[in-house]
Amino acid sequence: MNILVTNPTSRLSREIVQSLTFAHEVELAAGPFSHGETQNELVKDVDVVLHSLQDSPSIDESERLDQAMRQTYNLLWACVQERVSRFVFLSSLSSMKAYPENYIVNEKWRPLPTTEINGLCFHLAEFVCREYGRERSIDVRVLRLGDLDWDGKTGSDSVLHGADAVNGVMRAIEFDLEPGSWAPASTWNVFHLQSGGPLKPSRFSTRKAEAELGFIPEGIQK
Amino acid sequence: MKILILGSNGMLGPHVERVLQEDHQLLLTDVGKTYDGPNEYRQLDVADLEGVVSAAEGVDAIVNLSVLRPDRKVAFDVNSRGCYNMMEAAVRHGIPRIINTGPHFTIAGPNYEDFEFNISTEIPSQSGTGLYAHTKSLGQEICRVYSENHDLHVVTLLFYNFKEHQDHKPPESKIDPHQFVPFSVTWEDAARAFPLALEIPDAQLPSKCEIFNIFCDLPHGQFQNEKSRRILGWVPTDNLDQYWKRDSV
Repeated sequence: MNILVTNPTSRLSREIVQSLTFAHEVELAAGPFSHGETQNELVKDVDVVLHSLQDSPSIDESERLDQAMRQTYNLLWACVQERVSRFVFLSSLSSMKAYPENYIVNEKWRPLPTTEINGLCFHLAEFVCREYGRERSIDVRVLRLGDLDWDGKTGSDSVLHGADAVNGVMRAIEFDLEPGSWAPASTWNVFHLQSGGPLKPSRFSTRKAEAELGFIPEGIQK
Repeated sequence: MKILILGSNGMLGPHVERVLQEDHQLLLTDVGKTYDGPNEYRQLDVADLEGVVSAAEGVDAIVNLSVLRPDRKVAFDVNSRGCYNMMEAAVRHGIPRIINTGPHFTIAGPNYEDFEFNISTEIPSQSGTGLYAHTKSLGQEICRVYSENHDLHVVTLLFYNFKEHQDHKPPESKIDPHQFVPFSVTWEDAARAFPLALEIPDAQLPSKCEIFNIFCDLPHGQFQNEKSRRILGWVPTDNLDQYWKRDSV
């Protein structure tokens, strides 16, 4: 497959590119993503776009909002015009953290974003993605990631180890979802991804990603 | 009450100004440099966060009439980020009442309008991906999230098509009933919703973020305006029947 990955400053993007290059043609692209012919050229003949938002302290809130809303819209617009078949957006589980910790929260729960700018941007970018998914002209998948941890030092209750993140994203890129018995596969799918284990169970249920993408986080004993 | 109006130089702005200026102190703002009227005016781009925050200092309510349709960059800057800037300003200054505005497809996009009837505002937002609807819908979502996280109330008034009052209606030969949109209202009736939205007590609003369809009483049955009448007490005075009724059978 031809795959376009955004956000080269992100370690996750770079790690995913490294893993994908064994089996796919991969291009890493930096924004800003405007609209027009150049944008269409960027996604021409691409099969899957993997999009994530930059998380840099040098970007002010207006730029973050622009990136989350307008640039995500522009990328999706170009993808639809160029018949890209799949768009995977890397979001965050932060919008689900307002629920009490003892609730078994999965993708069927309503997001409860705060106005903290990073979380709000993830939520608004999902909002853009959802309208495209609803129109059924592109297969849109949103992965709500736990708090990324590359060195095992994160004390978060919804940690997502780097290796698990790469594994989950790769599966979302590569896996065709099975159609239901009474309907075709939806073009709008949300998956929660976080790590866990016998000693530290996942705060958020990852059952859907396990069942539909074959995501098996490290430390989960089957 | 001191009220900041964003986008006051648009089509609806002068009508809103007229119904509010007698009872309230107004600060009008728009991107244009000039304003010819009796109220305080400041040039302001709603996409300028610090500018909006500065203009909102000392006001009791904000009315957002700003809108931009065709240009993709500016549409997001005005319709979406403009709402963020307005809500940030409200939080920073403790402004308790926000009036947002938009087209009907802020909520009821083609998935509703092309298929359904009896459409109320109590539906999940589905704007579709059309630029104008989608950017306004994002702005409304920002307002909703702020209302859920902060001590303020957002009242959103949705419009679609504006008509002249019957005193100024076009000649019959110019009226094409087949072009009539069943979500129409006169400029004057539309403006009358603003004082009601500003002055309704918090306790009479069912939630901290309420949306109202503002169109005159029409027999088409595609959209509902009953909630506007029941909660805001808004009563349209013109039913625009020259657009949908024959004089005689």
